[in-house]
Amino acid sequence: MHPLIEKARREGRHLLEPEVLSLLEDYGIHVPRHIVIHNENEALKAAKSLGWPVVMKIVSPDILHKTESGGVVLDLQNEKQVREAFSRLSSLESTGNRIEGFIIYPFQKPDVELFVGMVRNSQFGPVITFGLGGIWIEVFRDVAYAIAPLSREEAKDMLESIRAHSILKGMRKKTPADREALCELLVRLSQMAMKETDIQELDLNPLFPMEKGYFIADGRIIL
Amino acid sequence: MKSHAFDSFFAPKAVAFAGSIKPGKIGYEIIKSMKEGGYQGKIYPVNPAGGEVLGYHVYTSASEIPENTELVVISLPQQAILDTIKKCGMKGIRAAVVISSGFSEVGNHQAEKDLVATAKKWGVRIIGPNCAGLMNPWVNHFPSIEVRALSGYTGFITQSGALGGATLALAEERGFGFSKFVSYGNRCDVGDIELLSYLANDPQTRVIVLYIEGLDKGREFLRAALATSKKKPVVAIKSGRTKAGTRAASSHTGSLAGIDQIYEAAFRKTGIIRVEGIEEMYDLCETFSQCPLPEGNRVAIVTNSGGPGILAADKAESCGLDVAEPPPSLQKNLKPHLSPHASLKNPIDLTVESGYDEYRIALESVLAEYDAAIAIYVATPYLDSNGIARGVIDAARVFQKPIITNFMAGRIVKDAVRLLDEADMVNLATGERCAFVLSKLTERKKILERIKFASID
Repeated sequence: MHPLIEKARREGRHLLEPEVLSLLEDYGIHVPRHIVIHNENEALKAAKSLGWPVVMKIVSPDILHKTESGGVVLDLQNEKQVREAFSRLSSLESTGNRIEGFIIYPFQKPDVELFVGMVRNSQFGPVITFGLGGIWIEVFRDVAYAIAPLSREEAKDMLESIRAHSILKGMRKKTPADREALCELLVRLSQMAMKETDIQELDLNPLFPMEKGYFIADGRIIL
Repeated sequence: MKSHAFDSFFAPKAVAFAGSIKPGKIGYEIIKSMKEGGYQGKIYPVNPAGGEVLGYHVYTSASEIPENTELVVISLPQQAILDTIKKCGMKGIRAAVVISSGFSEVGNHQAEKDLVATAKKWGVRIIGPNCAGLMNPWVNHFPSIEVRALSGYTGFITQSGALGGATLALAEERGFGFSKFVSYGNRCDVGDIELLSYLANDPQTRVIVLYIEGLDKGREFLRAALATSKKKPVVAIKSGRTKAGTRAASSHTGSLAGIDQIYEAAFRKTGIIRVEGIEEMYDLCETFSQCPLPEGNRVAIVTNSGGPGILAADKAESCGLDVAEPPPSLQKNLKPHLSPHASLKNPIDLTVESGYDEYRIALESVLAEYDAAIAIYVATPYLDSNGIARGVIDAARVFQKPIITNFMAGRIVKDAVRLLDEADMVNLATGERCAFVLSKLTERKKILERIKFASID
């Protein structure tokens, strides 16, 4: 069992976002640059070092759905907006949420949003999902499902089996997504799911396909 | 000693029947079916009443039956079963089919536990309880309450006895045969996993059908299914009755992955081909057991009538087959052999003025170029249907490539269809169905590529 999972179990909580990212990294999954901060000064410094614009999110063991709880502020363009965001997110403490800090990422404005996930089934074990994400997830349900562990071929088969595959190949003169990297992500995630049997559910949503690599904009792991 | 422990179930030299010997009762009817089916081994009815039934001596106790008995078929009331299992175990019988119900299916879990414990103690393997029995038509072995199956190449493993029975009855009508049939009921001991592995190595079984309501050892099933599909096609009919094995979800992923999607993923991983219903299953099994796998997905449609050809072409395209136009050279070579009105696109419409030569030459020529062909023939009473069937059969002999035929319809093609049957050709009722099975043959080829790399652990 990974020490971060062990710790979270001991403390009776799910993984915090910085822990999710570091766990993913330990399994060879590429995660975006990010900085965890605890005060306004650190926030400003982090934003400058990551480059504008940035995203700020709350890190709290009490908040599982960050966006719905107002725990995410996107597209911060300057110092003023960072200060405002910091004070807004800090105020969530007054509603009884413990705050472990805040996480700052570079902000990305993607053409396409994907999601990757895992859910553990009592019969078949870890089931990996992949599909078109964002606001369309519920409408189109353009999702592929596969049982872990995945081979390269199975990962490729997943990518090719969603309807949005043509978008990933580069429709209408858009640059194609790095499908090799997405396959690699699926394979590694499936290996992590096989090994870390305490993980019950996982969401990487949204996940942005890039010309080179991919960008995990949010990650959640449920034990 | 049998080469496989399950041979005692499927090809025993002597079978005991513990149950009623009154006409109309299950025990009696099974013995009768064994007898009428022409079973060559020994039949030993067991009933405290003794005497004789259907010409066989009735043993008053399981401890009396001869030593060479390999299988016992039990249709006793639930309370009387344990004692019989014990006596059979002491006799050295290693296989029991328990038809009787009244166990976990009605909530009587303790009775089932006791059954399992007793069987284990005396070294007896059990199929059932609450099952319809099994069949091996190749050796006229029919210890089952269902219609006796014809012999064929499809192994059928069913969770539902009744569905299995209905399938057998419909199959008989269609002339469709089975290599093995087994209804495993409550799956208290022997279940789908071991049966699948057994049929994977059964020489008479070319394709396996699973009727699944729910699995109980998902991961083990995946292992067995993957190993089996590498050897032969596995077709599944899955009904959606079971509850999700997934806990209430708090993630997106969790809420999206319903149980049906997860089964679908399990089938995909292991190369199992899912079908919607019985009819599709027969079509596919017939095709898999009789046709070579095509190299690619290019299909030529040869017909003597426009409409059915176009319907088949549309279906073929929607199933992912490539109905490409023949290259000019092929069209040029074909032209002098066909009617002047023939259309040389794809579908190739030979027109109604065509017989043995046109069908044979057209099919031979297209198969040199394409991966597979569909031969459609719409009969009229004045055409030589048998000649056309021979044309198709002769063309099929030239290449190791599949030709699926659609000879229609009814009485006027009956003899021609018999010729096709005898030549092991697959003839289906519509061109669309031909296209569907061809697409699945092509898929099987892709599946074999994909599952080569799949692993479960």
